[in-house]
Amino acid sequence: MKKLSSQITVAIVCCILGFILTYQFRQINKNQQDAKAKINTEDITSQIQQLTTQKEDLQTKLDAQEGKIKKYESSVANTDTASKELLKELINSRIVNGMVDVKGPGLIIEIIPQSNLFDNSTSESTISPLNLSVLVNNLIASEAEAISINDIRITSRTGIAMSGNLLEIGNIKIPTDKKVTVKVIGDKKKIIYSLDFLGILSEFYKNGSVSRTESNEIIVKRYEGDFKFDFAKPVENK
Amino acid sequence: MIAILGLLIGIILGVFFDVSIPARFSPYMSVAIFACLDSVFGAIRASLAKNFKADIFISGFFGNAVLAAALAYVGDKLGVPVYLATVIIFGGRIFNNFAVIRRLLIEKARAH
Repeated sequence: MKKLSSQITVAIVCCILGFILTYQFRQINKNQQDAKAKINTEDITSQIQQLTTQKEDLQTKLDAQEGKIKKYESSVANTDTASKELLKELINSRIVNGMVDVKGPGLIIEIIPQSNLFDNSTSESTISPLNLSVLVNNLIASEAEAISINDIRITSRTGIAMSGNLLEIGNIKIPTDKKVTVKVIGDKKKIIYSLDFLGILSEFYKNGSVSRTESNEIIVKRYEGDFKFDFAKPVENK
Repeated sequence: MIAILGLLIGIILGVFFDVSIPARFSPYMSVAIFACLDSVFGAIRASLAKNFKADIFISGFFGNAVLAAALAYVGDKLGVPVYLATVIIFGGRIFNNFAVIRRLLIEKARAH
């Protein structure tokens, strides 16, 4: 009897030792991971701040340079009618290419993905590039004149694709689980008809909520990159 | 055998049950674990030498752990790294116990 009780006490003590050992291992691993995560977050935050400041500086410089170009253009255009026509064409081609901020009547579509609070799956609850591409394509088909996604202007060279777990629009990456705002300028009736009749937004309703706001003055910001053509060259007529 | 079973149950409990002990006690826990390990090695040695007594083992297990943690705490407050003393003493004892265990096991194996 005495032997049995001593064996049980030894087992209990060993059980306590096993528990404490496992707990300590877990705690130390957790502390190390927390420290790593903290360092990474701090690094990334400071990098983002630096890049934001750099971007603002560059934008200021770019605006100043563009102001100068406009001055040159207007001074040249004042000289004769041909130059005036050329300037008109230039401004038009800039609007077509999305190189200037534009405003006009249209729609603001906000797509809000559902929260993953009670759902562990990551594949179905996010905004897919395919659905977004279909939406943009239909907006263009309904004669929309300017489109932007989260203030990223859609131009003839803007691609929408998946990059890791982020959505890549042009060269800018946005998260797939946060709100996406699509601004579109064009004939409101045509756009609404296209969205409702073809059920373009139905895919977004499956994985979240969508809100549409009509407005008579939507500002769509310009494309902030530059157009480079390394391969495509104009054909020379002989 | 029963000790290993108890140890396994403890590890399983530690993996599946999330008990929160304040993080500031973590360093003292490490020293206490070292003292506990010393007691376990002492118990193995005693059981091989056939003079194991449960009450001595249990009192040594908890007593050593509490003393080691308390010394580490006091050392921390006084700015003296007393925990080094516990680590050296218990480390030395673990190696001594292991040496005796090894000899006893080899002698047992030779006797058979």
